[in-house]
Amino acid sequence: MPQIFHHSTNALAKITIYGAVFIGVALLWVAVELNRSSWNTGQWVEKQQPVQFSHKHHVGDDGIDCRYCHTSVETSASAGMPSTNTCMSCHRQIWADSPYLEPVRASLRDQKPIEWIRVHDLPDYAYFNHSIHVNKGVGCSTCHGRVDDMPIAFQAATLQMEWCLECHRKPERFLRPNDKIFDMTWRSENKNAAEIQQGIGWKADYKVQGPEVLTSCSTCHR
Amino acid sequence: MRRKLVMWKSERTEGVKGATGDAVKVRRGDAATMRPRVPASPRLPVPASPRLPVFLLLVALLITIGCRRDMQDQPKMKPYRGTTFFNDGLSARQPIAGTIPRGFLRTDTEFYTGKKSGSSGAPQSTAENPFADDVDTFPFAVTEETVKRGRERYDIFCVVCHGMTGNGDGMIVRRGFRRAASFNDDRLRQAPVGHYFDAITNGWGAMPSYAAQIPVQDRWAIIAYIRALQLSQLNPNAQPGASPVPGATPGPLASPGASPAASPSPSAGGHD
Repeated sequence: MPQIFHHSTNALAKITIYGAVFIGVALLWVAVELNRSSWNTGQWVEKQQPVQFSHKHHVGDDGIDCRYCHTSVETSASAGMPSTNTCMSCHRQIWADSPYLEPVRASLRDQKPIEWIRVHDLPDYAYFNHSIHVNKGVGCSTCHGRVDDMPIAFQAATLQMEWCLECHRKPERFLRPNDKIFDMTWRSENKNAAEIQQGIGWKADYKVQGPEVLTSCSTCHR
Repeated sequence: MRRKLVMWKSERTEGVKGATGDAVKVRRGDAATMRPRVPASPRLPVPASPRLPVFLLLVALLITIGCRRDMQDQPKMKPYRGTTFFNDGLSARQPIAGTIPRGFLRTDTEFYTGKKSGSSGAPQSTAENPFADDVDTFPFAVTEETVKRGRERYDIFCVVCHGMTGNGDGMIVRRGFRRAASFNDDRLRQAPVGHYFDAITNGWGAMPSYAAQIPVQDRWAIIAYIRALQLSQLNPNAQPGASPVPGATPGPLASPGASPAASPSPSAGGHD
């Protein structure tokens, strides 16, 4: 009986089988990278808002503190969004007839809150509290990036669990002194040994819990 | 023996290739071209194993896992999440009018309003005494912590218009807002603390109410810091005898428990 396959087919079969492994790995890699990409996480994607509000102007140029508008950031889970009255504190006189501000004036006229588009949308199964973070040495810009440089607000981090755990495992890498929490220009990360050492000091000052508590499932999934 | 071996290889290859989902057709082609050469036997054709379709189905399910977002977007209420359930679109209900939450009775009129009586029978403001009903002492003991807290809050909420030194030349004023009052002129130096509280709480002139942004305790802390600012901005060459900061005795900053070193008081700052 003649050979059905030529002898060289053996090599072909081997290459195909090995190739399948590589293709499998490659597909897995693509899947993982897609999962982390901004296409999936929304990172870097600028969100158009009903009002063309620029953090770059208000924070960067005018030097208004974060807490002027986000008043509850130190005391509650939500950082708080400013009411229309807060906008109007200044804009009743400044830029009072600008067409850009018509949605704000309309909001005040009709007594209807402006419906901002949420930029940071955590999944509902993740519990997050702003106050504990800003009171224990996590600065605004650590998670939100250089907001003072954002004409249109976008999500600076992936907000994925691996990103949360980066800090929950080693808080000393990201902590800062408590008078620099709202400082946009403070370093984004404690990198060298000296900075890490400072971070360990702040971690002790703030009595930050150990990783066994910070990475416990129920700390965030409660 | 040979036939069995070939069939084993064929099945095996198909299984492996099925895992990645490609090239299956090629292998099937091989099997098809192979079959006619194999003598028919009662054991052939082999019935298609249900394992492959089941496996493919599982893979398909895996892919669609990301399509449902029920866990991410649960039907529960979180801050700033609206609802279609209530007509006003708010997910949280307002308390019934007249409801007083526990701890919010606010019987301490001086602390919560900055007024001595706060009632309609209060002494009316006159030209000679524009702040007749405003309290002129802090309703609690001012400490160093109070002033520090006040400085922090001042730098958040007040500095935008009143400026770092309280001269009324903050960034918003430079951008075109009506010039804010200077804390360093005589009128405001003489004004009682209750007047400042009233201005923060209810607004004054072009200044809007900051009651929604600044809690009561913080308003008093800010006032304590403003007093410190006023002392710091005093002109050392001022006329002797002219009472610099609120000359009244006891001074507005004189409060029980405040240590002279910690809290700026008229006596401490009255060196002119």
